[in-house]
Amino acid sequence: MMNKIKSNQPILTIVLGILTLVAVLPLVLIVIVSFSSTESISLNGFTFFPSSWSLEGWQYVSKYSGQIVQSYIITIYETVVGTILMLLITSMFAYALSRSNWMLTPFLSIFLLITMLFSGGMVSQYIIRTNVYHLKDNLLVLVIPGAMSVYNCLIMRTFIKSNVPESLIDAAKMDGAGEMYLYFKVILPLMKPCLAALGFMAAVGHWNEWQTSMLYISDPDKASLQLLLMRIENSMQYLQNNMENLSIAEIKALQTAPSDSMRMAILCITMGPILIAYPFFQKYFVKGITVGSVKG
Amino acid sequence: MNYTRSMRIKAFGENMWKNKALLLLILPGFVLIVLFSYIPMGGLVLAFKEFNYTKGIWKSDWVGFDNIKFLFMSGDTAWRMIRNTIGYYVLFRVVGTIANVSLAIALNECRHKYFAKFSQTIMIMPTFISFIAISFIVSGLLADNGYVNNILQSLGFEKIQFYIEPKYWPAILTLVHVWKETGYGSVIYLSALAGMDQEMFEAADIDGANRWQKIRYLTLPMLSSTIAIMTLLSLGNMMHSSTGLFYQVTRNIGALYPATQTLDTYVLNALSEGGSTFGITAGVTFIQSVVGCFMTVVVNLIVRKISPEHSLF
Amino acid sequence: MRKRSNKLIAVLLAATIIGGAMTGCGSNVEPKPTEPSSSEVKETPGSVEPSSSEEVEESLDPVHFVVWIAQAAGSDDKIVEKAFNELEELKELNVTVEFKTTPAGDKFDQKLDLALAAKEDVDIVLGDFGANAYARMRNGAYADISELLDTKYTSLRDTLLPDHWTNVTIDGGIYGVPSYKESSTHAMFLVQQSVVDKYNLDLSNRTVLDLTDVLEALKDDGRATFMLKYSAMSYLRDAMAEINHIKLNRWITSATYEDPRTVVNFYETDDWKELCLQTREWYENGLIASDILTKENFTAETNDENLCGLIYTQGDYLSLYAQKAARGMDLAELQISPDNYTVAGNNYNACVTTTCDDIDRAVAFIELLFTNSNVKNMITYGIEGMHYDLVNGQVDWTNYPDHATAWATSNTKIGNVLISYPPVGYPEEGYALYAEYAKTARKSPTTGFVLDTSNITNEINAVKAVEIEYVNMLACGVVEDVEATIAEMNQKMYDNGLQTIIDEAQKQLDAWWAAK
Repeated sequence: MMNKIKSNQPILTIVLGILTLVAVLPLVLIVIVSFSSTESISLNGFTFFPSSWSLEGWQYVSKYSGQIVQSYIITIYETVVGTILMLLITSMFAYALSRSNWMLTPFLSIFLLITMLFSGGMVSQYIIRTNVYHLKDNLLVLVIPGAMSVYNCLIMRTFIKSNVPESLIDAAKMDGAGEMYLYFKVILPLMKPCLAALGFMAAVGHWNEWQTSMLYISDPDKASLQLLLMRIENSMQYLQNNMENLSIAEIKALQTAPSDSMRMAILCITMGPILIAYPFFQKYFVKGITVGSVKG
Repeated sequence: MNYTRSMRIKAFGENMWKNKALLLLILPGFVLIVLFSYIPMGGLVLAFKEFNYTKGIWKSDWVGFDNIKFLFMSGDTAWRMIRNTIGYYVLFRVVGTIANVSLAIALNECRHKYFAKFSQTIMIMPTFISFIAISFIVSGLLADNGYVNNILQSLGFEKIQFYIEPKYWPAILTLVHVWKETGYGSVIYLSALAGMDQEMFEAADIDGANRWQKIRYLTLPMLSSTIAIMTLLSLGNMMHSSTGLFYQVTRNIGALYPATQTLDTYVLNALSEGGSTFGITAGVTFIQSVVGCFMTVVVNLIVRKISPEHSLF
Repeated sequence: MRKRSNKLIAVLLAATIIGGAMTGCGSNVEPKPTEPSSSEVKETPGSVEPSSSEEVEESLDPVHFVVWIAQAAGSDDKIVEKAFNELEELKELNVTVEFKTTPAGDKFDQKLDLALAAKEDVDIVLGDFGANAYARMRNGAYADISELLDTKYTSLRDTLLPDHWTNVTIDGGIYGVPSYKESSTHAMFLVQQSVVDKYNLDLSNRTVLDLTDVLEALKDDGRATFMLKYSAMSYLRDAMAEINHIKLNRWITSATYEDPRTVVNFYETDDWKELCLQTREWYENGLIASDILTKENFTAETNDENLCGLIYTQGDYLSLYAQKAARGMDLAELQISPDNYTVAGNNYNACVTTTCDDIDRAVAFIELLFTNSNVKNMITYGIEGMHYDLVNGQVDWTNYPDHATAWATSNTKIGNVLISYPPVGYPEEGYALYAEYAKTARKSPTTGFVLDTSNITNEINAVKAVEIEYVNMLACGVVEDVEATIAEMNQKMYDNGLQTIIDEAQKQLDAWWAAK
């Protein structure tokens, strides 16, 4: 029997290895292009073996580094606060939603579902957030609206329902636990894999977020990292798409910017922190956790 | 038994009182949803109005369905884009879910934990690559003098003009989609697997079940509720398509439209030269929402009949 | 049990939605009442006018304007703003301005639209461009200034030729002031002088069809040929169409110079077929890049003197000097369509919003940009000695390589270019040549006709989609069976309502001719 199990692993390992390679090759290409010189790119295009190397792309991006420290702080604030708020508020809602003997759950499910399907649109949201809630140029606009995520709530509810046995909850209640205690001390720990997975996705969402910042934040001291990078990227895109209609200043800008290597450098800056941070989340849901449960 | 009205109200009241702590738990989320989703929902009426800046959303003129008429001007075009949108949704959903679940299970089963962790970390990265970079890579592969055609030539075959023949694109787009999304998409299934009760697996081992039997009879059924919820949640977005994939990767080349034109790219092209777009975008979004809502409700009803615990509501 | 709880659910939901919608309803800020423009022509006590210096000067209330400028944000924005507010002319008018520029990479149109919709502080918009600008004018974002132009600010009105007001006039009201640019344009390719010399090319008297020898010369010299990416190949269509046709809104509704009273679909004409056949021949002979379908852009080739092929631009013959200065290359002009008098060239507009507190003073401010050199030069070039040097009355940037990131305007987008300093390298007569140029250009008989598309928006959007599907493919020569594909394209356009569009256009054109 042990032999049988072991013999499956080589195939599995090879398959996983190939998949990893397929995933990683383009990433390596991107890093290489970010270090390629502009002549090499114009002569040979994107290649794993550029004819000459250069730091132009990175130097161009670092011209904007004056703002980088400030924007890193803003982005870290947004990511940490936004993710923690989301996990807290959404999981509270999800737990309540998972109680099948509560009469309000059908109403709440539909209440949530409608918001997923219908939306007032960007114009209406903008008008209300700026005129009524006065969130314009306010850092709260980055963390508050996303603090309750309907999508995540429904996933969490499913997770609770399938992984937390009723017997556990009944046992705790018989021991005299109130809902709050139940939620904080029993449910949350059991939800760790789910919280880690959704928390990671929310953190990535916040880290990469730039559109809300672009629309609502005008104070340069409150600009997030991704907004900075996206502005460089978009302005380059605009110049390249409108090459036939550029003004003198824009023609000059297009001449001096190392466009392709710079864009790949921006991509690296975006992906880098995620690659570094991911293992911390990963340990919660790649198997290693044994769930201590109730016997009988 | 006869339930009188007052008995029902009393039962409801008692239930509310008994669970009052739950009310507290939902309070912050509830308020946030009302503030940020329901109050702006009035903007839906823009779909039927011609927006005027001075009059604002509420006082602008009604135009009924005029905003979306252009979608249906020609039966052929309308059919083509709707067929593509729905077709790709089904294709991506089926292939994608199979890929996600398979990857999650494969990673889970792997004995070499460090390799599995490393491999999984690498595999989520393609999600973050922007479609601009992806279209570079795809064109590098599929162009007339790209890698694929070079290999075909060296093997003695004819070159294929990928950017003129629509028939290859369903496969190409599916491959790109799977490559980009599977690593990230498997994360949620991994977390579901990690939360599973280990006792059952130990019991199965004792009973002599082999790996495949365990997967088939234990793992998959336990994943079924996650699969169900992910699929049901995606139905709401059925009529949405990724413009990065269908517009940038395909370079908006007209010859490929029979296989690549979706509702979103059609609208993008129609509005590409500017002009007033508030009403049209709102109208198109409205249609997408209505269809999504309809599908969600219908499929949920079906699921509820089959196995109620998997349904959304 | 199920029925009752469903009812309860329905009631609770309805209450939440209605309550939410009503709160949203009441929260919209009330718009400023837009009375007919006559009420805006208030008698401001003794307004200071550049043109009417006989009036008694009395003190004016100070007014502050938030001015949105369609340009990239620069590092010196605040410095220029401060100097701008110190100008004599502004002090006389008792106006202070605050500039709002858009960070490069942000979408100006989107931000402006949202700001206008939310009734934020926007008083004046400078450089509002293209179809988006016209949409904003039609949809009530901007104030009607026709009365003011005809009474108090006639000097502003008279800086532009009557034809130039055509595109900004909607139902008799005027909603923006077009910046004066050239009044005639043609399509052209700019080619390296070294190529012209090496192959002895005669660049005169050509149309877009007669390019074979130039293309072969470029290919022989190892250069790129057309440096237009796939989606930009439609410029060839424009160059071809301009030879005999007049665009009445889109090329699907064209008239010809020969017969300006009949509306034709350009894509059914022989001109279009000839162009597509020619580009197919070029493609087959390797004179169009073989990877035209996948090539992302031609930035690398455009910036390299040894690889640079045909640079496309639409402009007047002074454009050559601007391009030479900007690119630092020795270029020659290859004109491929006739000089056409155009009012569509002035696509940049100065507008006053309906939420502006003092529309009269705003128009006075705009008048400064069109009649006063000091104001115009500062808003165009920034501060002399900080952003540019003045050499013989021409602007020199050699000592200021970063001027474009400090203050980024373009000369032709704001105000009246004729009263500003020309850049170094322009011919002696400078802008006076524009007037000459306008006189010799071919004027279309339908100048002044604007197609009202409000009844046919749906058909136009649908046909536009078909155009996009086919035009680029045909124009870049990758289609094998040209005639069959053109037939297919036209059939599809008719399926999508082209006949309705043509009928409507013909009707309007007939009425316009009858009224002349």
